[in-house]
Amino acid sequence: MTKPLGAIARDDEIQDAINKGDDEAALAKIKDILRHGVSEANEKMLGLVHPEERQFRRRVALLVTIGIAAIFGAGFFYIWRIFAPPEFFSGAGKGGWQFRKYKVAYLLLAPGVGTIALWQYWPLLHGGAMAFQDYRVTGDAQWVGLGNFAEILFDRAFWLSVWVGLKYAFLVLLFGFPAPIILAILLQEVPRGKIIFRSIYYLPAVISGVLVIFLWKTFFGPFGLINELRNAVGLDGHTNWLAEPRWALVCCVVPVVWAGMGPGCLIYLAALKTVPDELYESASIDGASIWTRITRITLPSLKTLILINLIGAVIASFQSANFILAMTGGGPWTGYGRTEVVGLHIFSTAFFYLRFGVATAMAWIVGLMLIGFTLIQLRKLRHMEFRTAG
Amino acid sequence: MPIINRVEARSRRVKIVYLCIYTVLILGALSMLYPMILMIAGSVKSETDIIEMRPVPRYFTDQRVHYRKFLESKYSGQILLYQQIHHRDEKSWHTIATPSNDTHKELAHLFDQFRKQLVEEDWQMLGHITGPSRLQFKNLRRYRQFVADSFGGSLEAMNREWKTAYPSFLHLRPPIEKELASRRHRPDSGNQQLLFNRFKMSLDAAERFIVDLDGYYQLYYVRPTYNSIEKYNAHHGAELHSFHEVLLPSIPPTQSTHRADWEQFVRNELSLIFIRIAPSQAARYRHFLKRRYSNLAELNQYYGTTHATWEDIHFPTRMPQIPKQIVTWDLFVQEDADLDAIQVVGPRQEFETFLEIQGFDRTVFGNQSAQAAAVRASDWGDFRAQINSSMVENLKRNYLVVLDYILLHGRGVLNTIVYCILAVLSQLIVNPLAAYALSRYRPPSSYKILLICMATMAFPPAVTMIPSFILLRNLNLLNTFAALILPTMANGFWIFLLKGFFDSLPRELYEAADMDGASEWTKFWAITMSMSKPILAVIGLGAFTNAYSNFMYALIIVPDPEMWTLMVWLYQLQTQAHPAVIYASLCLAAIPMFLIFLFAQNIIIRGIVVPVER
Repeated sequence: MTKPLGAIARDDEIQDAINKGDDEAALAKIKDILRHGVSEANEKMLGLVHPEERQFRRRVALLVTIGIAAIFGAGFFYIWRIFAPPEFFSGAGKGGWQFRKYKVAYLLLAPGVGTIALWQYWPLLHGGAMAFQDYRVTGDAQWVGLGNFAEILFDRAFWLSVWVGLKYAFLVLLFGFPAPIILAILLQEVPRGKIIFRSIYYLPAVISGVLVIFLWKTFFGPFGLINELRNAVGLDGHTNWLAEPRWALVCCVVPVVWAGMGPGCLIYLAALKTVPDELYESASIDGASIWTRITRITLPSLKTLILINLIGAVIASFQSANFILAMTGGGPWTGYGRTEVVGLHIFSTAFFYLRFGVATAMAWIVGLMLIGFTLIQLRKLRHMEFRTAG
Repeated sequence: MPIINRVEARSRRVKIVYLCIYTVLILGALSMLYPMILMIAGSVKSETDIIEMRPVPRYFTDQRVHYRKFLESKYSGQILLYQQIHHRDEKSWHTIATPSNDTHKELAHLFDQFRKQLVEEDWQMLGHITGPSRLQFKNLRRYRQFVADSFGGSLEAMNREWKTAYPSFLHLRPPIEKELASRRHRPDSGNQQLLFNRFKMSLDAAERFIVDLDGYYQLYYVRPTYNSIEKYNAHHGAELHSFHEVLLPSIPPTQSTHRADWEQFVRNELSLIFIRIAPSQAARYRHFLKRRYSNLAELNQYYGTTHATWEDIHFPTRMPQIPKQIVTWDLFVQEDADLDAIQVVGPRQEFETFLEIQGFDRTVFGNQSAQAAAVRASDWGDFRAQINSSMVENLKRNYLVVLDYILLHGRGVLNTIVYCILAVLSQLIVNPLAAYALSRYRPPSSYKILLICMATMAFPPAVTMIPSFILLRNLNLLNTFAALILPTMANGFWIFLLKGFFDSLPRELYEAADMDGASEWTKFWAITMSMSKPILAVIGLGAFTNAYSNFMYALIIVPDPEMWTLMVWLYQLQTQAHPAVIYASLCLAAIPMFLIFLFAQNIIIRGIVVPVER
């Protein structure tokens, strides 16, 4: 509810007007922002929209929903194709479930598959239904058909949060993804102290996430480490970096990269062990430089792992919310939350505005955006074999 | 294996490469360690230095800072008490100056003698307890121990005698004494207060501090009335340099403006404990009583006395002990007693007499209070004498608070252990069983099952968050371990990984086992599981980490405190504790996780599954 106030406090036009002594203009602008805030609150919390507008929105939503259904359907069919053995489609071989013949196997599978069915599929279906409801915590859900989708598709805040989410995912991937790989290669090379370094880099995973956030918040604060470092080189100032519209998002990325490096490098360390020694030996005999060995031998051997992790990282970074919620809560607010990524937007719609139906519909739209990556990942995994490095 | 081989490592260029690698790694490691060190440093801090983000707390090396922390502890974190008793103006602990030199050693020594022979319980307050910062200083711990010991460790006995309902000894707070000099402070003769007084007087005199009437007068009467010393000087025609020179005389001053201040303060605001009235007022007191109570019978009934005539009533020159009489006495002091018959008898007056007897030259204090000067010298002396124990106390204080808290909620530790074990075991049974079924029997529907297990990855977790909670509620599983364990028991990706791994185990082993007539259980347990220990360790570590650090979800689906895990309790502690205590709790909470990683990291590295293209 303080969003409009934040926007007013940060608005340059108002500041200029006040500085020039033009109170009228400043007041007009403030009123404008507040009016916008009121209509936003009306729309978000009370769902008040003009009827004609609603009619139009519903039509668009219908098309989009059909689109979503089609894409999910096609996606599902695609995965099915990937997983099904070739005989299934050619008609040869005996398919089916054959419960009687494999009853021991099904018995052993029951707890695992049962758990997944009950705790993942049932909520998923229920959640799917919720996307078409005006779901209330009190329990009396009303069917609103495509209303929720109609609302989201014309919700500027949602699309802005998607944009912020994309920027955030891009930054996380740019800095956070290569970091563990580089760290693993470095750790692999050192003749001494490997275990000590490995343990130290793992430390952030050991301490509570609450602390990581608390520490970085103070680092970015007016009297924190960042300002102290700047002061040391002669740049004075007590900026709260998390409140700076231009830097807030970057500030949210740094701790993620920092904390993810150690735990993330473990899998690459394991993978590096599987690279045969002879490759390096023969390369060094041929006079290949260290750099050439890394780019020609090491990285190609890690290619599969890197690709799989990359897709996972894309999906995870686009969905992330909790961390930013604790770091900035989505602010600073300059008309829109400079760090309000789409995951956080869904979270706040569900738990702050208590509009579960709308939040679920948003989650489905995000799922649609990511389905392509998930499909690629599943296809890749299908052609993989898994080995431990030990 | 390393990219750089042994032979190359001897060449100079490669040595430079090594140097660069080490530099980068060490810089990175420092960036990882720095927050940990800050966290540990923060856990041994207090209000004085918590805002300083330093890897090594300043009080380790700087005696000035250590002294400030000592004062913070002694005056229970209440800066106003410090201002009142030291006659100083510092608004926060971290600006307190150190006494410039040790010239007042003699004074400190005399003050020590003075305070040791001081027996008045209500002239002295206990230091090192707890204050607005919620830090718990050493005497709070000692007090709890003292109470527990005196009731033989029986909480019930204590609550029965005190008519209280403390859920544990750790909830005990001593009676508040911060306004001993104030009229609002009424002596309490309840059992709780008596026991506290006994405890207070049983400690060394250095653990207590003596109430300062002048300080109270300056802080709560003169300052609020006059705001600045200039205004005070103008009003009184005085030439004082600071409020600290305004002392409360024993007898009413003759100069009219001073006299008005004195009368207002002594009649209405000063605690009755420090007021004496000359015996010459006896007749006036009886007259006062006659006006208040129309006849003697009424008075006798009210006080429960049996006076035959008004003249039988004894005139107390100091505050009486019976509460009902105190009320009348209070009114007498306020309204009726002759001002010139009133006298203030407080610690400073006593101390000045003491100094005179000892032959100490009082003129060195000038306009300032001898008591405050002596306290300043004595606190510094106490600090120097206790410097080592004070250091140890600073180091352990916040950890003891957290440990006490954990012990108090011992059930939480048990819950955590049960939850972690159940989570690890359930995941280590359900997932491998499913994977084994797929790998060994290879039902034709394998691919469908794997697909079903893994397809949920595509959906954002936000979709299932609320419905999962509703499902738990509908199944009546809230507040059970089942709610924590069942939903995460199986994981499609682990099943997929394990199946892939089981497929890669040598077939010959199973064939040999079949020939020996091994049972299905033997094949599962003795062959499959025992050959997969590292990968199982990775799954187990993941399950443990999630279970151990899970607090948000655990709080939402298990609202009953009886079922809370350690992390939920620590989260609760963190919402109300001082930041330094929060740091201590985080340090303690990190220990189990770090130890497990430290000792299991080799097996974990071996167990990490790496995808290889077929």
